[in-house]
Amino acid sequence: MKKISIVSLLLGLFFSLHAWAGAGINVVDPWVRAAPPTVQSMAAYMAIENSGSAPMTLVEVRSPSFLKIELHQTTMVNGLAGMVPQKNMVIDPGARVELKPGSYHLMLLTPQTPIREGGRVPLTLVFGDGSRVEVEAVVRKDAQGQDSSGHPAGHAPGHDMH
Amino acid sequence: MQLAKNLPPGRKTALMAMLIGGLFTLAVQIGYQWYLDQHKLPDELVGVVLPKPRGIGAFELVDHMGKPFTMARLKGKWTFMFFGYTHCPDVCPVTMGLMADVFSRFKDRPDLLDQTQGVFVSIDPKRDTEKMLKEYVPYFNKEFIGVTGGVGEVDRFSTELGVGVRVSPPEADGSYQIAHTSAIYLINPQGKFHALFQTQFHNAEKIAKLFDMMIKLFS
Repeated sequence: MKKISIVSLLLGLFFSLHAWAGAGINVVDPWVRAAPPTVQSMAAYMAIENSGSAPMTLVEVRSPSFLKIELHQTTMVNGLAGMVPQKNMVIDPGARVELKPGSYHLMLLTPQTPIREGGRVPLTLVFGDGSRVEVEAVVRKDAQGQDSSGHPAGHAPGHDMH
Repeated sequence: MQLAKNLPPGRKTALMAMLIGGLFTLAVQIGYQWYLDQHKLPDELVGVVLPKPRGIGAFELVDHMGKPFTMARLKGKWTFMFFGYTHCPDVCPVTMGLMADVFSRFKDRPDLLDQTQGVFVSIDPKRDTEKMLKEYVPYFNKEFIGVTGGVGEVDRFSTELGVGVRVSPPEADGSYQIAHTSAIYLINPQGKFHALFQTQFHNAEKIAKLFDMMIKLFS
């Protein structure tokens, strides 16, 4: 009997964790741009796919490696490149949102540990429904197989920013 | 000529004057067209190169080694100049990486690299000290020069070159962001602002090509 209860407990735990871990969210190629050691602001990029049936809203990103993480969009207004903080990011069912150079990105503030090229940065993506997705972003110099020209995006179709 | 012979002397002179005048106008037009053809910018450089290089007034800034950075440092070299700040996580490292990429494309042309330098001017001199720049700038290319200075002097220098800067209201923790011109300036060996590369349209390959065209035309 004891065995069965442990199994059912584990099963229950498994299913509750599964339900909690951002159903349908898939994070593709998370990476952090390597920077000189004294830099206080870094950027993380990734693609977030939602294969679920409900819209998912990214509301917060946490990491033990940084004091604070903000969601930003690089914009070009009247010839000035600037950053506009985003409160959240909605990923519609079936949509893929790209965080990439010159566009949406996570601004990582005040490194708590040395962030070295080739290392990994743990990131926890928190969604509006309370679910979380844990990823490890690779620290590297440049985008791979992405448009690395750094064009600030005028708008990004397929999802809403608020 | 039969016609001219039968004309009274007054009309004859007038006709001669018209002929000479017409030929003169034609000659001027041909000459001017020839001049234009000789001095015509290749299409690719239109909108990149300034029709007339613009002089820059005296300035006193400081490089990341603590040495004075004045007009004398711009003379005799082509200078790629980018205005940014180290607390900028996206546009600035992208552009510095782009500038380093342009330079790496000339690695088999040491003669060209000898007469070219890359400079990062901080538009955030309050936070970007010489020490900060010493870590930041050579990270992208060890020959690149970081430049900072007094707030007023940096402001004056960047304003003169038409660099737009807009500081955001500080957040609760005092941190702030700066929206700024992300173009790369090209200063010629006479210390004059000569071209502007728009980084949202020009990739490293294109900038290297345009620069190569420019030094052939203007060196």
